[in-house]
Amino acid sequence: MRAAWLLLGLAACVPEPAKWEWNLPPGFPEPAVPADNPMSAACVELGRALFFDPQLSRNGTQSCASCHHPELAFTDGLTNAVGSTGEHHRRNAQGLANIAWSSSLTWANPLLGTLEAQAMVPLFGDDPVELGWAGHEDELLSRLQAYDFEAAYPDAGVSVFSLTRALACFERTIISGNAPYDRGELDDDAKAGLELFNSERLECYHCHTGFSFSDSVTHAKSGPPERPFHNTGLYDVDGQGSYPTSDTGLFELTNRAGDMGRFRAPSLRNLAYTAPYMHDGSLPTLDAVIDAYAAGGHARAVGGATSPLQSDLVRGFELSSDERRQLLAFLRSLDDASFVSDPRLTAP
Amino acid sequence: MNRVLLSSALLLTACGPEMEPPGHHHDEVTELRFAAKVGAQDFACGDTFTLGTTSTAYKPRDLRFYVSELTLIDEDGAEVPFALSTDAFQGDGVALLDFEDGTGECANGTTETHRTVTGTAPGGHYTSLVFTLGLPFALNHRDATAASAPLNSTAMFWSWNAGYKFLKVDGVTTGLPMGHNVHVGSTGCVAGATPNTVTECAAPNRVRVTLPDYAPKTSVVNFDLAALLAGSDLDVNQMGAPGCMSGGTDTDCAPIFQRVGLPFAGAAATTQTIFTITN
Repeated sequence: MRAAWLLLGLAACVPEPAKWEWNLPPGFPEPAVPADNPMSAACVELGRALFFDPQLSRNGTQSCASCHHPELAFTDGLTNAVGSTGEHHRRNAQGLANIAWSSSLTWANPLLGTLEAQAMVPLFGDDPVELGWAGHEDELLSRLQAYDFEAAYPDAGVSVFSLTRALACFERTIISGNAPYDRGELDDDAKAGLELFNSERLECYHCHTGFSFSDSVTHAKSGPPERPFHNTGLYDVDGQGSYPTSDTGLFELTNRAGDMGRFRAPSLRNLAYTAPYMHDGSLPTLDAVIDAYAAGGHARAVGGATSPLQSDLVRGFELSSDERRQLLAFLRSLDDASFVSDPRLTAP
Repeated sequence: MNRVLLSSALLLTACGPEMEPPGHHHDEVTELRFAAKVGAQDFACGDTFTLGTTSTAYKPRDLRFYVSELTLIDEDGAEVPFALSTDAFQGDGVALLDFEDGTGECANGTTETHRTVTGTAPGGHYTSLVFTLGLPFALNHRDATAASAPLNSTAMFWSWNAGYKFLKVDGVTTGLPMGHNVHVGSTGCVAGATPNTVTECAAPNRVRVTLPDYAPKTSVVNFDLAALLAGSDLDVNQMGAPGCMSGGTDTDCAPIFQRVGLPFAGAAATTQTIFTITN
């Protein structure tokens, strides 16, 4: 109590910008925010406008939202995303719900530790081309002159720095925590499904844990980030655990044999809106995903042996039809209808 | 800026001691000249070259690379740093050599080119040039969104590897009309505890290039595209990325890394063959 009065006293003496009100769902810790990009209403509004503006692609055809639709929990419904010039991405566009808490960004990249750093990939990447700006930063920034960067980033002006900060600032407000699960509205099936989810038989909860249903989570008070990646036995093309050469997951970055096929565990929130599933969108339905894990990995489901590289928690399990119904009921309790229709998360 | 430096260099030359034998002048060194070649031909964006093991028709899309830690070595073996000036292509001791001019298939590039590295080194009897193809570790992993020239070139950003492409050589060929790309940079980088920091990279992929018989006044450093791609099948992509994007198991990288002077997949580094000197 004394500390609180002391803080109030300080605030009275030193005027500071209004503290950002997160209005977080119950149980959600405050996100970690980079020191060079404090939250503000100005940067959220700027980032929101930029996120939905097709002028953010060089040929004017795509915005960030073209692959991250709010009504699809910020996915695109496609198996593989398609860039502004028509190039197909090898991966499935990820949902952005609660992305503020992700320890690493994209499907398998420990080097992308903040949304600011991640934004560089779609903006300037060339394999594949997404927004198509590699080598054209001057054109990009001249196109953004109409925006009021001054209010949000008075020192940085219209720059790649402030552009990536604004996008990240808005993205930190993409928060989903009002599903039936969050409101304590589980019916009997969902309650039984939660028990199964948390059981040592199914082992789901090890990787899909906590408020975000992912083990790749960092927040303001969590200390150095944990950045786990897992091989779920989705592929084993050579009996030695190899994934297709088109996408080897974490291995591609580290070249460490043990990192073959390892990907970040995505959140399980809003699965009703985010099909198809897995890093390459290869499993069309939740039933197909459950089938894969029940078989001890999709590679085994299609007749292979247990991959020597897959997680020891992906062992396979028997599931009765009642249990499957219960598990699906629990997963559906994580679908947040208010999130996918939140007017604050649509084009301004 | 270039013009001013050039004219002052001419003045110095005119006033220098004319009795010295050739190559033994003591003028301050103010520029190091580079050129891009394709064997005996000059590199040009609009041209088509016959390249690789299949003698494919290769049209360039891009040719840029970073050099740093430029050092002249004199006849006594003393190493004398060449201090880079700062301009749109140079800064922080790094120069971006840029041979594409935005024409032809290089339409995604820039009109401006940069073929001559400017700076200063005291006069001396120099016999060799040494430089690093690539960026120092301390510069490679900083926040690119806040970088100044020449580290603000988004074409050279390599965000997914938390760094920059050191060497970017892109083209289209008969068999790969969508593109054959050579992107060499540090891979296997390890994330630090603080987000977006890197502690080390398993494959730094920066090359220290030593070129003997170099005289600053008369020599030109040639980057030879034909030499870079001499062992590559440019009509068929193998493994993953289209061309070689430094992937540790991308067999397209083996002949390229060998010529650049880098180790690859257990093969030790041998002396680079892509840079030569013309006097």
